[in-house]
Amino acid sequence: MSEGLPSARSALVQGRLAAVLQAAMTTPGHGLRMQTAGLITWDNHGQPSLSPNWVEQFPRLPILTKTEIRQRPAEFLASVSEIVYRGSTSGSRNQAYEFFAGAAWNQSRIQSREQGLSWWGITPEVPILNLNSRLWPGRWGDVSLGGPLTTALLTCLSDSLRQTPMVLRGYPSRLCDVTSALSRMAMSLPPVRVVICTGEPLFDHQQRWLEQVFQAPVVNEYGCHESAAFGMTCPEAGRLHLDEHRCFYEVIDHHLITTDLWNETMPLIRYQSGDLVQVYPTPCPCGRPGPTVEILGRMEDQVMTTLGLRSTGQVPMPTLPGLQHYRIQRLSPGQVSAWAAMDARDSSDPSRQAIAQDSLHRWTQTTFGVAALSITWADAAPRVDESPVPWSDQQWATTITQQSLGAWLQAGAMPTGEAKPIAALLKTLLSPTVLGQPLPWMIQHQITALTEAVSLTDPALEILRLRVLLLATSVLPKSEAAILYDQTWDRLQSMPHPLPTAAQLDSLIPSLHLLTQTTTPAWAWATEGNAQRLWDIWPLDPLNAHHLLMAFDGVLHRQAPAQRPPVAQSLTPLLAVLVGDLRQWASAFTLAHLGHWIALVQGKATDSLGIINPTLSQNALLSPFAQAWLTWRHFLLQPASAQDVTLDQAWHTLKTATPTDQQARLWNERGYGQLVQGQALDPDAWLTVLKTYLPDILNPTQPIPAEATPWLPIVQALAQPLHERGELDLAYRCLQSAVLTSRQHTTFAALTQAHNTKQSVLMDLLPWSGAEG
Amino acid sequence: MGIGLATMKAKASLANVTIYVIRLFCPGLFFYNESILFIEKHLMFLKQCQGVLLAVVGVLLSVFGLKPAPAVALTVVDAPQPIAQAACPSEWQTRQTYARVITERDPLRIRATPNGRGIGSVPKGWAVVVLGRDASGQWTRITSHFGQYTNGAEFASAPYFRDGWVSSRFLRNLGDFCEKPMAMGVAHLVSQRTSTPQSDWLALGDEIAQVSQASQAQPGLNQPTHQE
Repeated sequence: MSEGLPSARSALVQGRLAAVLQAAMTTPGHGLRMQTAGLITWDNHGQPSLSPNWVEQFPRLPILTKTEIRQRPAEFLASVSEIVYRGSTSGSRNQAYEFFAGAAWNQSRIQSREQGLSWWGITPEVPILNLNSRLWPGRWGDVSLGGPLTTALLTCLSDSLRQTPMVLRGYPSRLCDVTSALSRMAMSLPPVRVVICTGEPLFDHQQRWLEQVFQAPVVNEYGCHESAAFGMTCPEAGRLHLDEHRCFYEVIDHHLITTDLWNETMPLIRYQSGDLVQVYPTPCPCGRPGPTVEILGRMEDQVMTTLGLRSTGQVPMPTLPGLQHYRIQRLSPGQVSAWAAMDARDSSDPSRQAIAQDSLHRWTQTTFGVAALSITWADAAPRVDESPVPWSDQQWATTITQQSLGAWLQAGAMPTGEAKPIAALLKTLLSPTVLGQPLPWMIQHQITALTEAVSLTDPALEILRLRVLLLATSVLPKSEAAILYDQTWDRLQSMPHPLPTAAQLDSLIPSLHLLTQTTTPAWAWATEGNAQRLWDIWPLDPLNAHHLLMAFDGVLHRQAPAQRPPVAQSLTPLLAVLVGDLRQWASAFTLAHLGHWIALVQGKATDSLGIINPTLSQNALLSPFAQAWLTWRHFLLQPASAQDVTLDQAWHTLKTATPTDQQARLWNERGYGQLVQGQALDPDAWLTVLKTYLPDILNPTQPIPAEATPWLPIVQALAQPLHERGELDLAYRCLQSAVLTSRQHTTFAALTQAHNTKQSVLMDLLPWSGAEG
Repeated sequence: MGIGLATMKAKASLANVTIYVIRLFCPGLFFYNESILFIEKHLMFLKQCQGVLLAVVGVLLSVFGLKPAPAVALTVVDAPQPIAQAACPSEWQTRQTYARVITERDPLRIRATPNGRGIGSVPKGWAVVVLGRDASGQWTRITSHFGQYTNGAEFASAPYFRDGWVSSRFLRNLGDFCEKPMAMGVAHLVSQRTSTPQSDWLALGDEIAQVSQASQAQPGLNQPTHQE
């Protein structure tokens, strides 16, 4: 049965539908389907176009499943240019695939969410705190708080809400777990504006419990990442409104079928995401137009009940006496397992426990018939944070400057002396449990506290304090970073000389993201007026190396791609170039290299820093290769009008000086040269080069090696010509590979993957299509 | 539509339109599957002659008022693998020899050794990389453009492709790199591989520092030590 959604058939929708269908028909994945359904017609020149009666033919298009796309995603890729969004499906059923979208799609995504939030008075200024769930901070000012459910997390949550009234958002089961832990600790929270539940079906008892705890309205948000389907409940009637400006919706036998109206990059036409809904047959009393539905759950998550096979959302899970919330697994026809959280004050009272047990038992009998019920009473108490292994200040300082930061963090150790706040800030910067833009207040507080702390008595530790503060400038907004830099630089100058070279280097690295004049004194000081120091090899200790990586990350995070210098714009992702360079020159790092990177990301000459063109000084300290490399890079940064040799000539000079064991680097640089000069890459040639030096980069069975990093701009640039030549799989693979996620995001992703995934509240472990039916 | 994709489809369309016209005028030549065999056998020839045929077909179509039927596009979607005629201007390209599988029936058996046990197969029409021949010349060792996929991943349309030996008489030489068939590297992209090459920033920073510190123990000219 198909349930019509008449309001979706507006002129706007038809216009968008026509646009995405036109993009879709160029793809092998959609083309044949559209042709079979009669949506394509051919002109005298054999050019396809949409049939005049495509609107009538549209329902004949076969439904497209997630499995079909996952098996051959490249065949649905209509374009590889101007991609601004790269997403991945949830993969909860091992059916993940990556999808790509353009600017218009992303804009509609943002507008859609803002509109839904506005119904609840959530303006862009009101921050949303994503709690204990795998949810990114999507808006400026939002925060995500992840990691295990510990007392530290609850304290952080409580402190955050005291800073400013916020909206809480998360998976309902995770929010319930947090609230149970709060009640167990007898912690009360400041008021929140709204609680938004997303990612899982919201059951009645969860909604009631969350409303009770937070004394705030609980909103149900629905979203399907790849299909762009989005909906939110309205305040007046509590119905979930689907945003018909983002998708064309159809419902066939409760299956939600969507056609994304904005993704012309990788169109999804009549896409079945697997979500089941029930359409309200009447308009919503709130007066808002458009379809309203009730989410029934995933098609895989059906449960056999006394009334037959039901979607999880169709099974009532009301508030039960004595219970905060509960989760159910049907193990076999006669066996049910429950996990339940009691009110903390009742848990030691046998009579209260009996009431809770009885209510669960009754619910089980009603829902599943006669079944043995085993109950696990949830220990709602949060995990107490593990005490760190105590280290002496000296041990900590030696480890992070002479061994590795990983060794320190993996040891779970913290210094016990006056180095403790330094270590605490460094740990926060390296492995954040909180993510957001601008920098979340708790991290800013840590930085401020360390800045304002009195000087440490041990000069070595004081220098370490200043070094960590210099590193922290990488994550602060530019103006705040400049202030912090000035304060720290003043203090560093007053330290007894000579300063360790590592500290001197830390004072120069912020030149990557600060104004030139801010760091000019540091350069004069470090080079001591002697240009030869530019070509000295500067050793990198672990703190230096991480500082450089964070500075790369920081400067690119603050720059919109369009604001970057033209050369930097042609090398995307630029972070891959910088990281590749650093790996390449780690053993022979000079200030001339740093100067080149500053010029690359800031697009300015660095002469004012005392960094002169390396070709002007034939310095015996530089190896021929280092000299040639710097000269080559200097050539790339020059405007075409200032170049006195051709790309080939410049490259041959580099080639002459390149050792035989650095041939990969040579070709890598060749690719950069072609990209900077806007030359088209020949896929034949470059695929062979990739195969020679990085045989696994396009092999889907192998992880992408770290050595691939500097090649990513070339791999990304190959997507376009490969796509034009019909090499869709390779083009898709190039897009997949050519991404380098920031440190913060990868760290947070790993943290939430381990602790904050979705949970099933109602689950049937039996295959529902089994003999029982 | 990308220009290259359009060109590819146009070429395939042209081949099919040509056959359509031949069938129209010489119906006795074609009976059911024979026509398909004819297409497969003569596809290369048709492509090579496409410039002339384009003019002929254009004239014929205009004279008879014919236009391509939708059925043409059906074939376009499943078009045979295109041959990319790329220029070979650069001195730094690696030269490799390629060949196409031309068996009468699908597929061509791949053997562990010349005339040895079968270990896989490659479909008719596929282009392969020639690694060498045995002394008799009767057996050719082949691989794919990206080597052998293992560990669960496979080519979408050649799931049993392995590196190995095939009978030379079922291969047609396609020349060196400049004629490399681009469409051979069509692999399933279903495996859950890590797409981010550098997801462990902590390890990366420590590694960079270790490389730097190790080099300090061996002072010398500043040569990079990382081997890409």
